[in-house]
Parts: sequence; C-alpha cells; structure tokens
Amino acid sequence: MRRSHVRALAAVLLLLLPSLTVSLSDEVSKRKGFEITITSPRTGEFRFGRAEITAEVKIDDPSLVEKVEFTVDDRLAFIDKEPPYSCIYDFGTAPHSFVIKARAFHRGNVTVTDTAITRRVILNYQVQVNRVVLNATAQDSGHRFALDLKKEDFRLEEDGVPQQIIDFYVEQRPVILCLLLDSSGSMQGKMDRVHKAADRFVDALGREDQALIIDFDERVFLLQDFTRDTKLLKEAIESTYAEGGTALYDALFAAFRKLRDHAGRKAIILLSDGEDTNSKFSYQRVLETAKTSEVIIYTIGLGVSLLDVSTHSILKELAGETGGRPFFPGKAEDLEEIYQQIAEELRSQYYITYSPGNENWDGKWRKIRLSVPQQKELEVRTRRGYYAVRRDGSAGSSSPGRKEAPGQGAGGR
Amino acid sequence: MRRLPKISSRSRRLTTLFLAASLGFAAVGTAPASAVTSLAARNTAFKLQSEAMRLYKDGDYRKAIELLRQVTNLSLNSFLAYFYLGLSLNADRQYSEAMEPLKTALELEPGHIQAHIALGDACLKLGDLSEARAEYLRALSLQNNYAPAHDGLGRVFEAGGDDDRAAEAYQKALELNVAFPDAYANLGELYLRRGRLDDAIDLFRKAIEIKPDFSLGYSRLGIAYSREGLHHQAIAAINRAKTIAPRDPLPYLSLGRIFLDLGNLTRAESEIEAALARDPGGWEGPLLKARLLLANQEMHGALAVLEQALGSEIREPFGRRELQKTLDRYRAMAWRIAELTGALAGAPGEARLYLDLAALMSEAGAQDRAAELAFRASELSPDDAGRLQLAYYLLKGQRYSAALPIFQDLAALGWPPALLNLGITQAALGRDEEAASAYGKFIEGHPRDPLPRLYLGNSLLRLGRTREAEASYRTYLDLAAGDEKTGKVRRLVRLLQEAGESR
Repeated sequence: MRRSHVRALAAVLLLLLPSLTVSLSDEVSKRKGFEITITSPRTGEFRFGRAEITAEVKIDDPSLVEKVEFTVDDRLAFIDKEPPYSCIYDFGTAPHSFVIKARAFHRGNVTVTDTAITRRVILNYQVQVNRVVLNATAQDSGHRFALDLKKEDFRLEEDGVPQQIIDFYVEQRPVILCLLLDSSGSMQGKMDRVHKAADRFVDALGREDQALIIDFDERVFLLQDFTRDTKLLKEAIESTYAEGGTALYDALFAAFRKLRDHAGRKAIILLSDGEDTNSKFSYQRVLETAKTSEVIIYTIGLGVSLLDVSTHSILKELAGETGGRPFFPGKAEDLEEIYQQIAEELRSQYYITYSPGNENWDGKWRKIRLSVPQQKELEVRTRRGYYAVRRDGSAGSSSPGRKEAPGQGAGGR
Repeated sequence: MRRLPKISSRSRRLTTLFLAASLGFAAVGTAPASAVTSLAARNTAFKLQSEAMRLYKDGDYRKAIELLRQVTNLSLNSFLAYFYLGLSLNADRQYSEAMEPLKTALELEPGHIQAHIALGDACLKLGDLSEARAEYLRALSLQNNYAPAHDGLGRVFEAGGDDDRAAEAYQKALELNVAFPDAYANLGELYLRRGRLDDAIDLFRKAIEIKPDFSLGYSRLGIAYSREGLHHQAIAAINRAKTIAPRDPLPYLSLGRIFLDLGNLTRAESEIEAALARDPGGWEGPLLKARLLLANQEMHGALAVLEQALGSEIREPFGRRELQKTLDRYRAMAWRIAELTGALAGAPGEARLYLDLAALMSEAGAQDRAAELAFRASELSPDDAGRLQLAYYLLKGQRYSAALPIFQDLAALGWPPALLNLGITQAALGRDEEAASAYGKFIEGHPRDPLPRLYLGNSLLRLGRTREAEASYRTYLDLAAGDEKTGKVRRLVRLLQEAGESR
C-alpha cells in the first residue's frame, strides 16, 4: 500500500472515531440499569395447568421498552407491549421442567434476558380423574372420637363452595406407617421412655397395618423397612440411642420417599425434641412435599413449648396441613399416652370422596374445609387442600383472554 | 465425629448384631429382612459406601451398584451414596434406574453441579430432551462457564437435529476448557456424521493427545479411519481402545461393523460375540448380530435376534428405534424372499426371478448366494445384463478370477460399467497396468466422473508412476468436491508433492 493511501485511511478512521465513541457510550447508558427479572414462576418453583408468567422490567424511562417476549422451552409464548408484562401459559398436567425466558427490547436496539427453570414435581395424592379423597377425624372436647356421624352431618367446602360428598364410610383399610424417632444428643435420658412408648404403640397396630422405623440424628437411617412383624419393629426401636445433631427435615423427606410407592392410607409419626440443626432440606421444601403427598402427619414435640416459636409452629403446621395432629408433651412420661391416642385416632377415621364442582383443573391450590355444623363442639381434621391437577392427562380448557398463550394442552391464541 | 456409647452388655450385643448385619447385607444385597440396630446401620453404611466408591472408581459398576443400593436402603440422607449410585447406573447404561437416585441426590444437594450433569445425561439417554436441557441449564445457572454443561447442551441440540447449535455448544465447551476430551470427541462425532472426516479425525486425535487413555476417542478415530477406507489404521486404533478398556463393548462393536463391511464374516462374528458378552443389555450388539446372520443367510435367526432384543429391557429410545427400523426392513425383505421363492417354485425357468432374488441376497450381504442365483439366471437366459449382474456379485464376494472373464467379454462389447469394474477386478488381482488402461478407456467416455480418476491414481501409484498418479488424484479432487473420502487423497497428494519437491 502506498504511503498516501495509508494516510487517507487513517484520516477516515479518525473521522469515524468520534461517532463510534458516541454510539458505544449510548449503548452503555441504555444498558445501565436496564434489567428484566421473571417474578413468577421463579427458578425452582413448579407449575401445573394454566398459570401466569410475570416479569418486571427495570428502566428509568418505561416508555423506552418496546416489548417483552416470553418463550417457554424455546417456543414463543407471548409478546407483551405494555406493563405489567405477563402472560397466561398452560403448563399442562404432566410433570415437566420448563425453561422460561423473558426478553425485554429497548427502543434503542438493546435487549436483556432473564431465564427461570421450573421444577418437575410428581404429585403423590389421589385425585382419581375427577375425585378427591380425604381421611377425616372428628373429636369432641373430651378427646373422644365421633364414629357415628353420617354423610349428611358433614359440610364440605372447596374454596368456600359447598361440595357433594360421594363415598363415605369409617376407615377399614390398614394403615402404612413411618415411625420417625429423633435420637439426637438432646434426647439423652429420654430414650428409655421413648422405647417403651413406641413399643406400646407398635403393640396397638392392627393385624394388617405395616410400619417402618427411621432413626435420625444428623443422619437418617432406616432401621426396619415396612413390616407387620412387631418383634422386628421393637428390636429396631430399642436399638436407638441418643447422640449428635438433628436432621428432622431430611428424615421427613426420607419418609415421604419411602411412602411414595405405596397406595392406601399413609401416616408419619414424628417424634422430636427440638429444632432442626443439620438438614439439607429446607422446611419449605418439606412442607411443599407434605402438601403434594397424601400422608397424614402426627408430630410429637417432646418438651417443645410455645416459647420455641419456630419448632412449635413448624410441627403444628405440618400436622395441620395434612389432617394430622400436633402434640407437645412436657415430659417423656406422657409419650405413652400420646402414642396410644394416635393409634386410636388411626382407627377412628372417615373415608370421604367428592367430585369438585370447579372442573377447571388449573393446577392451583384449592382449600378444603370440612365441618359438622350441627355439632360445633366437634373438631374435624382433614388435609387443608390439594393442587387441582387431573390425573388423566387432559389439560383444562383455555378461555380466551388478552394475554393467553398456547401451552401443552390448550389450543392457539 | 460420633462418639460410641459406653461399653456395656448392650453395646456388646450391638457389636455382635453389627457383624451379623454386615454379613447379612453382603449375602442378601437388599433391604434388611430383620431389624438393624442403630449402631450397626451407621457402621455398615459407612463401610459399604467407601467400598462402593472404590469399586466405581475401578470401573466395576455392577458391584458398586449392588453395594450402593444397600447403602441407600439404610442411610437415607447420604448425598454421596445417591450420587454415586446414579453415576454407577449411568455408567452401566441403566439410565431409567439412575434417575431416582440422582434426583434424590439433587434434593439433598441442589447446588451440586456434577449431579445436574449426570441427571441431564440420564434424561438425554432416555430421549427426554427437554428435561436434559433443563438440567444442563441448571448446571449453568450455578456456574456459567462450566464446560460439561455446554457439552451436554450440545448433545441435546444434536439429538434434536440442530447440528449448528450443537457445534456451537461444543465449541463453547472447548473455548472454556481446551483440555476437555469429551467435547472434542462429541464435536468429532458430529463432523463424522456430517461427512467432515478430516475435521473429525483431527478432533479425535486431539482428544487422544489430551487423554492418552481415552478409549472412546480411539474407537471413534477407528470409525473415522474406516469411513475413509483406511482399514488398517482403523483396526489399529480400535485395538488400542480394547487394550485401554477391556470391558468396554464399543471397540468390539466398531470392529464387528468394520469386518462386516469388509465381508469378513468370521472375524465380524468373534468381535460381535465379544461385544455381546460385555454388554448383554445393549442394542448395537443385537443389531450387528442380526446383520451378520442375514449375511450368513440365516434370516429367521436375524429376525429372532431383533425380536428378542426389542422384547428385552433395552431402554435407550434411539436404540429401540434403530432395532425396530431394522426389524421392519428385514421383515419386508423376508416377505419378499418368500414371495420370490414361491414364484420360483411355480416358474423355475424364469431368469428374472433369480436375478431379483440375487439382488435381495446381495443387499443382505450374502454375495456368494447372490452370485449363485445370478449364475443360474445366466444359464437360463444368457443375456449381457444378467451376466453383468453375475460378475458384479462375484466382484463383491471378492471372487476376482471368476469375475474377470465376464467383465472382459462385456467390456469388449462396449458396456461402460463392465469397463470400470474390469479395471477394479484387474487391480484387485495385482494387474495394475491393465487396470490403468481400462480406467483410461472408461475416463475417455466419462470425463466428469471422479471415481475412475481415484482408482487410476491408485493403480499408477502402485506402478510407481507418481507424477501421473498425482495428476489423476488432483483431477479427482477437483471433480469430487464434497466427497467424504477426499481428505485421505488430499493428504496423499500433499505427500506426493513433498516427495516430488525433494527429488
């Protein structure tokens, strides 16, 4: 190249430089503070049926946002041109992880993206095509179980709407039980009482009932798998000794896993004397599993008082959500009676089914309330709700809406 | 650390029970039939887990699985037990069984990046591309420069038919980790499938350079060589893979396929049997075995092998699809053979039926039987087209001396395909001078056809006429742009050129 050409080229480049600098700094200023965040569902949450996807765009001047594009599993779900940025997507009924992306377009040709990956959850309770199954207990103020009630005596509501009970009878089915025994260091001095109480409970089991024994401190061990042999169960119970930390949530999760593959009436009886100190699972995760499983949880908080705010409320909530019952004995001597009460309660349940009036299987949580209006002194316990997902694989019908996106089972927009 | 309880009569009873429980576990291998004491559970789980992890590292996956199943039946919140159980099951190709322990491992440690990759791998092998992708993306959300996650995404894209994005993802993995042999091998495999043999070979070599004991790299390099027609190099590479990983069925399968392609059914059989012994639950072994049986004219046996494999526990969806596709094709072939055999029984003098049957036999790999049938046809109706077909089957069955006079006759009568095949036959008999002359004549009539130039180059090279050979190869390269075999020729030309310059 000749020297004169080089000089000319350099001059052109010099002329171009200021405009390049301006354009770069423009881009930087556009990007600065321009962000998008998927606010629902967040990574790790799960969704079934028709649900909303929402995103928030952070920008100084909102009028500079041209549009927000939502994609689910690389397929365009919706383009929203005005805030609040959202769309309805049908996530279907099959358990599945969804990769959700929201991309915001700045009018100055800049885009920002956020991604959320939902969790795949397999529901483990009986919604038999269109029927919800409940186990319920009615108890009077003297702790006596009412077993002479009729279908008509009950009032059943779902999200405040009365429902028609279909099947109704006193439970005759055997129960499948997980006995969770806390053997952390703080239980020292109480284990003999625990052994005695749990042994008595095992003696009270029905001939067809099955149980397993899980022993936990900071680790969780299966000492005896499901069996009807009370001798084996007692042998496992009596071998536990107190030491170490407390992995209460891990133990509960292990029990859910063990119960998952069993059909029928299932219950967990958890004995613990304190706060979880070592679990890998969070309480939220355990509660979520409890709500997606059909397992009744009885919690026994030995020495847990109202002053132990967190543990007390956790044990109470777990039992309450699942139709079980929390117990808070002050001393180990009371354990025997509590275990006997639980054994009696398991023999005093009603089996109830109903077909929900709301046939929009949208995957949302539906609240259940069961009561005996004519006998207000009776305390009626059953699980507090369920996720409205039908098991037959068909999705809910998609109603037309402004921000409706086609999903797994629904039709086009 | 857990402190043991005070020594007491109860502790002594526990110790005795622990020993009994350990022995019981080793013998039974499932959940305890009798109760395990708390102390025994702790000690046994620890011992079994350590032993299983050692077995996994030694590549003894089946034994590791056995022990880890016992551990997970006992120790219900041990991340390592679930993780290694999942890894061992993946390594043993029990992908659907691997799902549950890996999910549990991730429930226990959601931030464990390798567990996400392992679960993604299991999903991918089971054909669940969206779950596999989600797992790799979860791994990337934990660490966005984690090369194995990009490699995993590449495999997802490739399985979904998006080769461009797959190549991008593999390249991204290699950008992040230049010493990542799996990504080289995967990108090489993609190139191999796309016919970019040279690039594939380079990548496999690179993988081996980084990891000299990378048996998969050697196997794939062997396959690439074989596709280039470099059979000796292919066999050498795959034998190296065998030495590195004697339990791996892949090198045996690769050699079985090469020997089948070469028509060496005896060698093919021993390789395929060795592969089947190493992986009785795999899908490629039965597929090759069926192909071998078909080449040996055992159609019923071939169908039975495929049906049996499909009725078994093969879980890889891709493998099942391949087996089903082959079974459908073989069934159609069997039906057509039965139809032709029936027609021949009714019209034994019909030459056309013999030729149709011969074509089917040749497709099945039974060249001798095809030649026999074509010979019978030529006896019944000695027309030139039938004779050409006969000579072609003789050539495919490597019966060169028998094929030669037929090609000579037909070439003299002006049949162009006979002229080209005459050259190939003469070359196979070591008569390169005559072969070069036959190719030359064919080229006069077909100047745009690349293959005769390649064959001519080979004959000239063997005759020591290197300059003419180089010129012929160059013309071949000009005419055959895009052909996957050009890489080998290009290298040859480079060598000839260097040799010419040094002279």
